[in-house]
Amino acid sequence: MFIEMHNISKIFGEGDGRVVALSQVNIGIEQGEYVAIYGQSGSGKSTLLNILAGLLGPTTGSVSVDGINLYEELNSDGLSRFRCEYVGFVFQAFNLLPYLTAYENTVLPLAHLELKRREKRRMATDALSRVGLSDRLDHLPAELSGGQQQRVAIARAIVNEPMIIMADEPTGNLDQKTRDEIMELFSDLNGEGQTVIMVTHDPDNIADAKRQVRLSDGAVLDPATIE
Amino acid sequence: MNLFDITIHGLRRQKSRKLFLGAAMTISLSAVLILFTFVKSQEVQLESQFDEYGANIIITPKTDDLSLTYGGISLTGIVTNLMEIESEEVSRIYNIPNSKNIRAVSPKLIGVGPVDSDSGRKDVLIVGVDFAEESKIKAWWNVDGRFPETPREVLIGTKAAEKIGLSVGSAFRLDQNEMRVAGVLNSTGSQDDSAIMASMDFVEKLLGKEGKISLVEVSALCSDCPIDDIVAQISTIMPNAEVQALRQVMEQRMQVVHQFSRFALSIFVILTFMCGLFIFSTVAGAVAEKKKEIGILRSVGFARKHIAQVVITEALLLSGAAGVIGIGASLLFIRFALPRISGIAVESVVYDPLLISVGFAALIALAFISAIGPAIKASRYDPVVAIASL
Repeated sequence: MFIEMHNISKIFGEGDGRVVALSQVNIGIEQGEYVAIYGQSGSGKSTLLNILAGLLGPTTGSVSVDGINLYEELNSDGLSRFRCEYVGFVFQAFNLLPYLTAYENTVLPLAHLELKRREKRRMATDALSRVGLSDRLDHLPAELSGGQQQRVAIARAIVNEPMIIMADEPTGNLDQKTRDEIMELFSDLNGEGQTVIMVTHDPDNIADAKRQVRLSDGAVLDPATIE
Repeated sequence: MNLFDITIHGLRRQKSRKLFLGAAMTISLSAVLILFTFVKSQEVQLESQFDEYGANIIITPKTDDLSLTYGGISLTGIVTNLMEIESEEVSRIYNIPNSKNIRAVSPKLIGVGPVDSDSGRKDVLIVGVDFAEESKIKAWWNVDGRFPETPREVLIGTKAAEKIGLSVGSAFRLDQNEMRVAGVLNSTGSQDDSAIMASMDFVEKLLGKEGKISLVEVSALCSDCPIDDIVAQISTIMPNAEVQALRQVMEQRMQVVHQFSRFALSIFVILTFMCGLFIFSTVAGAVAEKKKEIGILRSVGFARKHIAQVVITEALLLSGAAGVIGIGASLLFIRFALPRISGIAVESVVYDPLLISVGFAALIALAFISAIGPAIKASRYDPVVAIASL
């Protein structure tokens, strides 16, 4: 199994403020799968995705990706390298840096890598071409529509050719037409062989995924077991 | 795009904050450079003035007994009927290793001579001097008339002139020699007021002490050499003489210089502390404002060290730019404003490349040290919390 989550629990706070975000979650995902994790607000979807992305350590349980036990084998810098090499992350709010152009936002994950400037430019322009924004390289986010901004965010997520695309409510801020375009983009990426894991509360987004995992109150209701 | 490009982008943001911080660093560095340049220039000018103030080394014959006060300074062994220095020894002073620091050497032969005038006969202190050298050492002397130009002319102290009843142009007899007063020395507050000064050759013959010297006053320029070295060197070439540095003059000079230095150092410490605190608080504030950005960078694979590197590089670049501007501003101020404001002569202003280099390096180091804390804090931001912070 490419991605394995074993008995993942995540508890925030202590005492009276204690919140169980995830409880004994077990999920396995094969390479090249398109998985939708859906549930209501507060069901623990985003927490699960953050744990998968190496951004948030679980309280208990283990996560392994490509045979690497993330939170036992890797320190902070190791998790950074993991995110850089394995994960492309797409946020609901795009999270583009407003003072950088589309090209600069896209090339951002490569900034700390020892690559030639020309190579970085090629990779970034390729990524922007894949999301259909090759003619918007020098536009600032404020000069782009919501859909275009999310495309830039997706270009940023795929620029370093990661094995996994993780998207947290990627269409939450978009209209229906733009939503469909973005969802089609994810399907295309999955069609090219990339593993896509999408968190959503929108039932319309689920249909595009090849597998659905439903979360409620931090627990998997329709378990996709590892076995 | 690389980490440096991200740093440059960061510098272009929060412009008012960055400008404010840059201005503070520029002003601090300029203030320090101007202050230390002022102190250094003041030191040079003061030392020069002190060097010209009078003798700072006295050479007397070695003796085990008696003492005589001359010029308000207690000296040993100046008893005319005992020991003297051979005048040929005096010329050796110009051959010591630090001879370039010797500004004036004024030998003196001291004795007592009978003066006959209209008011009768009086014994008067007679001092044989080399007027050219003496005038260099006693720059403060104010003479009515002029310095003597012939062996039969004298310079007379104001008290002696008054008591004997002499004035400029007066004639009198000194031990059967017809003499004339070329000039009257205005009151100096020293024993010069009660003496008659004549040429060395004349006094030697008058006292019957050809080739003898009672004492030698030396004025050494000591801005770039220790006075003790000169004293030791003179002692070596004049083994029969007692060579003494006038500590009072030296210590007074050093005290003034040290007071300026301590004042500059105090200001430097205060400015360094305040500037460091300002850099720390500004960088910390900038980092807090960029929390979400840092979260985004961390989420796309930036390691902690990359975040810290960006924060510190930004502070270093800002301090570097502020340093260059500060140096330029201070040099302009030093060149055009400092002499007018402080009264320091333009030629006394010291441009010290080492001071400028050290000041620049100190600012860079201060920025680095002050930015370390905020940089570490930034690198430790939890990316999930940081992204969710806005």
